[in-house]
Amino acid sequence: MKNKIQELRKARKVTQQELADALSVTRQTIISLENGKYNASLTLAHKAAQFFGVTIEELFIFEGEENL
Amino acid sequence: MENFRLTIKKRIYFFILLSVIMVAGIIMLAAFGRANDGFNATSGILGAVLAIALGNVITAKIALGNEAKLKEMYIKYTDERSAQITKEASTTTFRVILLGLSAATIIANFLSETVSCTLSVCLAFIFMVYIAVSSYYNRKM
Repeated sequence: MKNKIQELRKARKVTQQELADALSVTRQTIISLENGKYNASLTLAHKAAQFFGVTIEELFIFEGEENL
Repeated sequence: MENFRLTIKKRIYFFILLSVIMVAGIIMLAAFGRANDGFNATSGILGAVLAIALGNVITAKIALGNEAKLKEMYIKYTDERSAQITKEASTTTFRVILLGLSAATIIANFLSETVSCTLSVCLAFIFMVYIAVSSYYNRKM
């Protein structure tokens, strides 16, 4: 699943650490999300969408079934 | 955060209990153990677990008295990626242990009946625990 976290974070001039603190996750989680190595849970996706003031669909791009 | 404070307190009690068991084990092995005058590899393992348990108690106690450290610990503790990694690692570890134990049980059958029997019981115990825990989570979720 692709996401626009890095794009929105940079546009809002927020550091990875600041975003991590706001979402109560580690900076490593933010790095993995931005690199597409990790897919956020529904709760984290909701929190991230709320943080950026967008909908989950705008933040995460679902590309169909993926193999884990 | 109050709930997490409670979790940390429970964690401290758990590690204190674990430390007590490890200390008792080391003393018992040193006093009555048969192999190498009672101070063998088992004592070393128990000592390592004791050190880990005490380390956890100290870290948790420090965090309880420091709000910033507590928040840091909360994030580490609740981070969903870490939880996912732990879950994946546990599953793989479980499979590897099962595979190794099954192979060891078969090989031990040719070498020693006692060892083979012990390993079979361990294997059966692991399966029983797995079935019990699975059915618990099946009902819970």
